[in-house]
Amino acid sequence: MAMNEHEMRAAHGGAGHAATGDVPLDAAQRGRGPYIWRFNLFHRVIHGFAILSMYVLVLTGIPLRFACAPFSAPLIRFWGGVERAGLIHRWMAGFMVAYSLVHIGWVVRKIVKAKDRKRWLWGSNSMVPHPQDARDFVQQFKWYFGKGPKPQFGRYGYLDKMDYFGEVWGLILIGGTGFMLWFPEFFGRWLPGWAFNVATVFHGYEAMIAASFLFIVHFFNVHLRPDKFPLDAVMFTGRGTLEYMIEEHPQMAEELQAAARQPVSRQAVADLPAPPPSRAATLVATVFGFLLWGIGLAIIGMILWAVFC
Amino acid sequence: MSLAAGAAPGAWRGRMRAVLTALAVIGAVAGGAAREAAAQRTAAQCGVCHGELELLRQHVPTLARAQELLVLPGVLERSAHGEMSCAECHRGFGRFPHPEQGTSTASCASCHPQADSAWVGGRHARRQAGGEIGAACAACHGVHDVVDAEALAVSVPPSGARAPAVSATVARMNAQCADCHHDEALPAHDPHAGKVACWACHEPHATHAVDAPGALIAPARQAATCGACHDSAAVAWRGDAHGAAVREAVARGGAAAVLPPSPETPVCTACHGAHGMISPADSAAFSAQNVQRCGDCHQSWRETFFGSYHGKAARLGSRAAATCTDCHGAHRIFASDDPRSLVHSANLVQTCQPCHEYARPAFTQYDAHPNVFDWERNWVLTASFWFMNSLLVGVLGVFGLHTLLWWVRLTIDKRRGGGHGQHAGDPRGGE
Repeated sequence: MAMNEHEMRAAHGGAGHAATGDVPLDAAQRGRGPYIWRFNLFHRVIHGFAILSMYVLVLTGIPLRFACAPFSAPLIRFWGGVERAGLIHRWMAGFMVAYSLVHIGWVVRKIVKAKDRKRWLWGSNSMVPHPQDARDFVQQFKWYFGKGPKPQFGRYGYLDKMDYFGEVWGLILIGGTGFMLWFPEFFGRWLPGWAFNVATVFHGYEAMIAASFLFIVHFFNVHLRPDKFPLDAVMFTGRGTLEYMIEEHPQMAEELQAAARQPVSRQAVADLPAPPPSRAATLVATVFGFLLWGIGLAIIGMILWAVFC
Repeated sequence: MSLAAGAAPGAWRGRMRAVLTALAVIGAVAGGAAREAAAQRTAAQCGVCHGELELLRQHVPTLARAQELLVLPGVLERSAHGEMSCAECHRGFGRFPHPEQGTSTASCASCHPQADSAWVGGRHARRQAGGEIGAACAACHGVHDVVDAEALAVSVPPSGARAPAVSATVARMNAQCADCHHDEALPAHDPHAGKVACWACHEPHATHAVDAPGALIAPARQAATCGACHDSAAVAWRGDAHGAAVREAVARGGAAAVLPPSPETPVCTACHGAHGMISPADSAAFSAQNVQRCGDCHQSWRETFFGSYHGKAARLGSRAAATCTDCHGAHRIFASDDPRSLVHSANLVQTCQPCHEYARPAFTQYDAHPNVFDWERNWVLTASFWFMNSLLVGVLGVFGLHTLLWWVRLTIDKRRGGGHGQHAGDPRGGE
């Protein structure tokens, strides 16, 4: 496979790259190749849907949550009024439920049809939370204080799993209370009216937790860490360099290095070598990445601002 | 001063005309039975001189004075005093030549004693007597173009009918009030603008300051004043909690003045405002105003209302969201434990149904004024609030620290010359 620009520079001994800007903006494009597929198209589309719905839901919901804040009235005007914002919020919620069901169906089908089902449900390749995740969490703190090496993550570290299951938990809690508030007369046949007061509290706070977790913890872990700054587009382009993959998922190193010797796959098949992302894809991913974390950090700013109103 | 005295020398034609006119007047005076006839002298006769600026100008020193003396033909005749002769007001000036001394001050009181005695006790007269700017009869009623009192009578439209536009006469008088009270003129959006005379709400002669106890809009009298047109609202209000509060306050000797608004004075204007009031037809603005005005007395309820979905949506300009009056009513407001109250538990289903068609008794247990801090109001809500706060602080605390320490670790590593790739080729796979 052809080396990309950065690899060529690296191969030709481009030193001091941090200062000269030779390092690609995308953390997943840094280091030794070849590129390895991490996320297939389905993952990326679902993640794109998640981004879209999360941002629209937060930006339509936050003015109501913090109706007293100075940014709320202009934001509501942007959406075209409270009723319109509410309608968009509900349509987006419906969309979120729809793609989540599609995703669950995909996961179930994948597990049922998998030949090596055990690999899906347990071990370094699995999304299922393990006792190892708790040990990794403790290990991470030990590493912070120089009392041990960095934990060795498998395909999904505990932060990836927290992002994922956090969304599952959020979807159940925010979605459930959201549907209650959407159809109060229907749910009011069985539930006392004050249940909607309680639902409002759960809905609003869980949304705040979700937004804060995403825009602080997830963003830092994925994009803003000093060793990844300014962004990591692996979820947009679907691929990262071998060095990046091993750095982030060291427990997979052997498998990855073995896979890297295979022929390049144009199709996004996990762990197979990938062609370098096109300049256009990189550009789009970078622009979107910056835009999204810009808005995300702005939302954190809005929440902090609103706390004082 | 005689008519001929001020004639300019050399103005031959003018002098001739003046002499002829004077002869005519003298003839007319001589022709009548002196005093009686003078009293009945008509405007037409006086108008021979006073109706012609050019003529007056030749006999008085300044143009300004001539203009003062000028009464254009027809003005008096068309006024409410059209049947009267000049000398009835200008005593002693019916004779010609006019007396050298004295002024021709008209005395309105001689014919209008009631209005005069009311005026004397009012603010317009008191201010004038104290050397401030006040207003006497002519300031409002005009001089020779004096308006007809009947045209000024406050007309009350039949119940349910919209008030017609005021007559040109009333509009002129309203404008005359606004000449001094510029800031108080009704803005165009005010539903009373152009439909109500100033003196429908502010007594016409015994004028009071707005916060004076005797004013027509004083708390004790306001319902009657507004009720002249808005009778059903006034009747309902008299029977509700607000009406009772004012009555009790007045009985105690309180609620003397309508300003400043207080919990003792929930009268019409406390909610509706006065000049520049918002029509209930402008529902969004009216609702927003209600939330503000009701909340001025019921502060904690306004705050908790803003904690509810209704309050948040209303605050952001929703037209559909319920505000104070949608649940509590307007002029039939009672404490929630009063069976007559719209928010009494027995009436809530009906109260909620206009918006929530399928409301059931259980549904109406929704707390439209939630207070997450009040354990006694709803402990489940308060417990949920603290649980979610703990979760928020817990999650963000642990992972905020996780993030911060990560940043510190990586920054230290970078300074020490480590950095990216330190683990590459160092897979601790079997861990």
